[in-house]
Amino acid sequence: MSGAMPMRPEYNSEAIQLRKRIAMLLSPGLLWLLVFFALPMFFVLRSSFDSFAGGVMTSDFTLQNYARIFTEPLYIQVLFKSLLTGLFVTVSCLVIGYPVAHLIARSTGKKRNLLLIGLVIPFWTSLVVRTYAWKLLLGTNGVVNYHLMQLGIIDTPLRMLFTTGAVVVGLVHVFLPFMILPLYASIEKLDASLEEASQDLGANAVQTFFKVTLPLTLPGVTTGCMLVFIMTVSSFLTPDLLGGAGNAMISNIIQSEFFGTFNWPFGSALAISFLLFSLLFVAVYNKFFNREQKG
Amino acid sequence: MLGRVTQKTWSMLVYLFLFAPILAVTLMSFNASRFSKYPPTGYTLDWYVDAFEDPAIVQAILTSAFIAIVAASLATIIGTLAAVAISRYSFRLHEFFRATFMAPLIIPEVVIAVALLALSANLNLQGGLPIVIAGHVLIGLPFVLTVVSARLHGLGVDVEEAAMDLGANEVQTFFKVTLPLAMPGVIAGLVLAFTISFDNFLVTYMTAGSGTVTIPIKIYSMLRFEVSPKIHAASTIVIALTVALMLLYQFFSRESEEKTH
Repeated sequence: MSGAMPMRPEYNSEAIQLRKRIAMLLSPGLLWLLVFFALPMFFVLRSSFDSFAGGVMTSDFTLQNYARIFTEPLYIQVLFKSLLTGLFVTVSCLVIGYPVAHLIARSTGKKRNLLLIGLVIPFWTSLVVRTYAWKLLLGTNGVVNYHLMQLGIIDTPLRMLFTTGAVVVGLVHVFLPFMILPLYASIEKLDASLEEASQDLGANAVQTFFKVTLPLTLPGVTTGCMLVFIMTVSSFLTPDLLGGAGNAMISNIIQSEFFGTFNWPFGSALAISFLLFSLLFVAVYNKFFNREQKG
Repeated sequence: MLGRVTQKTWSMLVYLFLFAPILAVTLMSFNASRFSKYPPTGYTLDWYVDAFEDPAIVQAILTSAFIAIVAASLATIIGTLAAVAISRYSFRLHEFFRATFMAPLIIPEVVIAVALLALSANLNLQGGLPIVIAGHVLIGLPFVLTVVSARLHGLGVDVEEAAMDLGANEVQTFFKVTLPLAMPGVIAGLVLAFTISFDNFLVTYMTAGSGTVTIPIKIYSMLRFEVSPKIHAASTIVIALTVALMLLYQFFSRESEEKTH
């Protein structure tokens, strides 16, 4: 644009030129977010106050959709169950992932690269594929049952699919790399000699871990936990493929309002509530942990 | 921490856990048993032949590739411009803009899908390609922004200032100085955005309508309506494609890091 201009605007003050440049760089992205997220969210908000009766949507203003979320026990139950699943999966990922992140951070050269690539490959492998693969592993005639029977641990195959357990295993599998990578980044920055010094001064391995390593890698812990928690709570595919009827989570409920009952106004109210809840959660979480780390 | 041996054993088990599903699908794609019996008693390439002879599977892979190329290119252009602004300059509301561009990362995917669904209903579109692409760009943006910013972070603005002093205008400076500096990050962002789009499930599932079938959607619907090991063959092809892309990404992001330090 400005390349076609005959004169360079040298007489413009530098500040104005700078502001113009920044605006030009930011505007395509802001426009995209505005047209494909902010504006659509306004439509969703508007439709969340619409009425729905006998399979027909009307634009009569109502608060009924929001009232229903808080009065029908199903929705509070699903929220509660999703949060509980999120918490359990997050803690599992942290406990399972920390030693691995530590090992990667303390290895060097080729070995570290190999370990990182080994983490990144499952991380980016198709979610649908990785999730349905658990059906092959956990099914009645699946790999796990076969080996358990071979080892004589069980006589008859266990029923593992379509249970809460299968959903949790699937979710931990999907989100574990999201925990390990930030943990790794944090541990890598921590000077290994601090751990050695602690041990030299007589602390045992457990004391060193809880008094030195863990507190100093807290940024990685909080980042990893937030990512895993928020992604777990909003997951759709894992409960859909591996869970039973009782394992539906928030996203499954919202999707089924749009494609099962076609109650868009209520689905919209659920989506708005879920969005506000997520943003509030992230804001509170960041505020809390940022203060914690500064203090 | 822990015993060294315990930690190594534990990590090996975790890696086994991470790779088990990938190995299972790959194994079953070569398993001669039509019912994917474990352990396999024979091996075959029949399911790959079946998969490649199924025009719907081939079409789905091509559709995914097309969407991913368009969405990744758009996300990379838009995200790179934003990354240049955010990592090169300090200005009012800087943090606000950064948070805005990162927002799609923390907004539940189902909400993004619902928003796009509402948009296409209000525009009387029946979902389809444009809406799917718009959604994939939205989801890819924070990743491109992160990767390109990481690349530009720590590179001083003095080179650009020098170019301007020597008479280059803004557009020339951007294309001849800033962009080449950012290039390894830009390519890494492109590969990342491509992979994210190629793998996307929920936004595509909810907004594509019946006319646009990507490979994740095809695999998902085959799981419901067709019991054939060609699902495993198609999935293994997808895994192989993703792994190849990720190795490419690793290559470019390492390149990007090495040039910075």
